[in-house]
Amino acid sequence: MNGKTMSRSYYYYQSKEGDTSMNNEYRNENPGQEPDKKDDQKSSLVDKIQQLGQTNVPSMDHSNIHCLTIIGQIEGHVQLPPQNKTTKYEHLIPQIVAIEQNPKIEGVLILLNTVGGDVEAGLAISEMIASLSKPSVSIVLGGGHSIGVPIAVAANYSFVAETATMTIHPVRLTGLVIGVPQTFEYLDKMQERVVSFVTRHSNITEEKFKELMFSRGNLTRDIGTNVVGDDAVSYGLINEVGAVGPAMKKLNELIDEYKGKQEGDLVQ
Amino acid sequence: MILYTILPHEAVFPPDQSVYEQQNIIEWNGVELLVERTSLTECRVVQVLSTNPQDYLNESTQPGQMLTLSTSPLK
Repeated sequence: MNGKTMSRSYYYYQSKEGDTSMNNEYRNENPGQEPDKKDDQKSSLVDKIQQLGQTNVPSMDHSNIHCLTIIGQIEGHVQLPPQNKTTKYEHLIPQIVAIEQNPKIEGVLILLNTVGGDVEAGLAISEMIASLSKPSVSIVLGGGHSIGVPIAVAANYSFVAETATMTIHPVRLTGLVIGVPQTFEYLDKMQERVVSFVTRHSNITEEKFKELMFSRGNLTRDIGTNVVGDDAVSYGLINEVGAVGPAMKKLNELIDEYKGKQEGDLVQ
Repeated sequence: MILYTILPHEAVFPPDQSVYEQQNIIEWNGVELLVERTSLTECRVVQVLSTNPQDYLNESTQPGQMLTLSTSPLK
């Protein structure tokens, strides 16, 4: 379990050939999908005319709230084998850009159940969420460990399920290390980035966060703290205990507030 | 043999390249799907990669559903 909750920061630049070749394959083959897609639309249109005598069937409304699910491990520079559940930042970042750009999307709900993962990928996602102009609300369900913590606090308002936990611990390194003194310094700086992000985006103080990060006796043979629902709120890390119901209510409130502000801007 | 290490499993036992090639991401009617190849023209949906909650209600792309492709995205 310990191995899973560690923040991974790979400090080597050996790119696996598979990564790039797979991406290329996907790009090359993507245009091949187009005719298939058009055929599908055409045949469904013919079906609709035959069945209902009309071309437009009322479909499900587009949701004005989109959700980002952050599950499993946050994948960094190295692709993990498919048996691992991972969240890939190269998927999430364009989705966040699309949410920002699409005028039909008014708010975003972020669902977290993650064991943590790559520090830089996690911080990249956190920064993208934090800089969204549209309202965002996050819910930690199950677990939002390690680098999941900055992602959870990046939203405008954060919720934690009563039973959910968040492990706060120092940045770790697994992999091959060349140059020990530089590595220690690099790790220290990396940790500082995580700490400053969390303290800027939540109500927890730096002292308290570091105290939780380096406290002994909470995790077996390790330093750090496993913070459960209520505690996360009492430390000021998370805004409120709750899950989907209160989160949607809060998000709708934020959307109304945001819309009001935008209309106000237009009047001026 | 007991191997005690802080290295992640995949760093000690790197999986075969073919493992990575089984899964791929395709676009299906505007929705990105993670699919697993079952034959040259068929694949199974593993995961829906979308932020639109309505996309998850589409029965034809529920995880486990088989999709037939006129041109295989997986080679």
